[in-house]
Amino acid sequence: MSTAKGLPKYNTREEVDFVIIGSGAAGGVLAKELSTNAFSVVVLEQGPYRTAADFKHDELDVIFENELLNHPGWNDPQTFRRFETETAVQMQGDPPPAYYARGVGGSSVHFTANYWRFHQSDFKERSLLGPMESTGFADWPISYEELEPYYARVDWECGVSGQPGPFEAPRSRPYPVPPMPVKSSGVLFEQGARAMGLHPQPAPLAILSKPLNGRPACVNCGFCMGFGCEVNAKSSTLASMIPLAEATGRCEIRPLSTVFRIETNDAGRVTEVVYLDSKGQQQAQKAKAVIISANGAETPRLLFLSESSRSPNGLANSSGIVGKYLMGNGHSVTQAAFEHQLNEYKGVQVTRIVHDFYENDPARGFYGGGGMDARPFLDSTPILHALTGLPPGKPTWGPEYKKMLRHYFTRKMSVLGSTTSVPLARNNITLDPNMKDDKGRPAIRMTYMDHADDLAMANFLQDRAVEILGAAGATEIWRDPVEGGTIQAHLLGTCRMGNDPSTSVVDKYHRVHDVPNLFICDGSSFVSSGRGQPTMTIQALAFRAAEHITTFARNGEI
Amino acid sequence: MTISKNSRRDFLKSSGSVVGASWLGINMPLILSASQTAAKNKEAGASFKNISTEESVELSALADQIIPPDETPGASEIGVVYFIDVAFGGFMSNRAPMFRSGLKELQQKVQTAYPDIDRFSELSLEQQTEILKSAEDTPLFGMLHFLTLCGMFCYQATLGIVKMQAGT
Repeated sequence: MSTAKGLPKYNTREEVDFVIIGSGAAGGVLAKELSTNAFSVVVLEQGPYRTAADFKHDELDVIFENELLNHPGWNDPQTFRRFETETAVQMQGDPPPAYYARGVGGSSVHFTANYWRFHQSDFKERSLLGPMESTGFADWPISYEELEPYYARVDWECGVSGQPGPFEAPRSRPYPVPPMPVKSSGVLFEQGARAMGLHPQPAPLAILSKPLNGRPACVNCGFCMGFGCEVNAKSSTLASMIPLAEATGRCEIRPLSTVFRIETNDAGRVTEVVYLDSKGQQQAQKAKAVIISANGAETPRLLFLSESSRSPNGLANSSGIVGKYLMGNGHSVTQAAFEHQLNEYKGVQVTRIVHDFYENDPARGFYGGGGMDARPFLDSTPILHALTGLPPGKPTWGPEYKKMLRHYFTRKMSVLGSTTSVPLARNNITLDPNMKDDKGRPAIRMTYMDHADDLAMANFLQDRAVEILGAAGATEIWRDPVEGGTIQAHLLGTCRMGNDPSTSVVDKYHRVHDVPNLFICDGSSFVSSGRGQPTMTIQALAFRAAEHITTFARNGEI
Repeated sequence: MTISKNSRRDFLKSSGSVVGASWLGINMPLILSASQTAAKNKEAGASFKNISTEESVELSALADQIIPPDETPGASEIGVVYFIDVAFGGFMSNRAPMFRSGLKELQQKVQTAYPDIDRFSELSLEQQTEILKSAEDTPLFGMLHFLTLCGMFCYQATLGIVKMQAGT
């Protein structure tokens, strides 16, 4: 594991052009773009600098011990409650409510790599559908057409495999590499979906099917979801962007650096970023401008921690909406078993998707839309299969249990439905008033309960999944209950972008309304949730933000 | 996306809520170390370090009830008891007292049901199964169930299911 990979080493007392907080899906792109554009860049990452050689097929460490999620230096708990009237508690025995990876590359290291683009409608649903009372339902200040060139850059520069589908918005370039080979789950899902009159398509994935940009193709090891890629075929920023940033000689990646405050001066400009280094020593890096790309939970936390007499409710929070409108994408899981072996434990998770239900349909009686995919899900690794993979009512130990593990492990698949999340002010990230981490920082407190329409959409997709799996010939089908989510891997909307400073935190260029030399670019910038799989859009936003920030800097407008 | 609550609930149910709480707070490199050490100890025929020989006999019987031998190896043959031994010396050391008190209660249950027999391991397989059915909801069973599956299928022994597969 590398702990000091980046060159050069900037002096903390010398002002660099940019400090980027977070090296994940957005931070990695911004680091590469801005250093390529000749700016000096320091990236502060709270996790370690792992490389492909550090990743492993170890289900215990990675899935059960949260090796990629835990803070590397100290205990950093989180609390959860459904509603603001409740007292938030730490969920003992559960993964953290805000589920993100710490390490260079951030959650792009451990994600499943589903890379749908948003549709045109995602950016303007408020105009298309009208208002939703008591919600933050709003249009984005940008359109799909404005973002499309940057989606294409993600495809080609980060590396996305795929093939255009029937419902996809217009694209300026083809995919750089073809879709991944279809798996048994994809074949069955496609057969079932076509029998239902639907239009299944190959899944776009940020995993290379062919070599691209000096990186190798996937070897189908099967350890994608939750794991780091051991061959760099997964297009994390660790594999795709960070090496290019470092190659400029102008970007220093500073791992094991946990930011806890952004300082501002009397003029209301940020001046330096205060953090604890790998030895637990307090440091402060001076910068001309700061970009926060810490994710939709850590970003608002940091803004709250950076309160001052000028910003008593938190930095960048004159609107009072920092942390609000958290969206996680609802989901449903439908499991099935087949007569013959599927052997889903090999290969990537998802090879076929259905977008027939992506758009809102008033005939359903509720707002929302969603995408569906076929995958092994929790049956791709043996301990999770042993703990969660058998149909309800089966033995959980003994001779029959062992026989069933053997039988079902190779005969299972699941269909996942991913849905819209209505933006609600009551769903939010705040600082916990009681819980602190080992260094005295207030813990992340998540308050979250899905909107009734989100749950209705998840149930709708589950009904369709049952039909598809039945048409595909499943011998057994069972549903995981659709309930409000308590753990969110998609952390969206908590510093939303907009033109009005009273209802948004950043403008359409990701500049904070309140602070001219502070930018925020990550999932927190989202205005709506899409239908799941947000990372493609996070990265497109980052490419676009980098271009505008470069222009501002060159014109002396920061 | 959200993580399946149902799956998590199954996990906690399977592993026992006490284990679920402690399992996530422990030092992860030690788990890998445990599985590696357990594999080496098994290969070398090493003695146990953190459990007594008597306890190892009981653990073997319990683990083989959970994953019994058939045409493919059961849990004890895989080396699960070595994994549990290493676990009690490291990342699960704070659970060793619970294991011992739980085992004592189980033995009392055995003695009550079968006055002529002292230990779980001395029961016939059918008697063991009956006793365990009445102990499914105890923290001891939850912990051992989880540790047995971990020892059976984790990293060093991750081909456990594949080995079973090969037997079909």
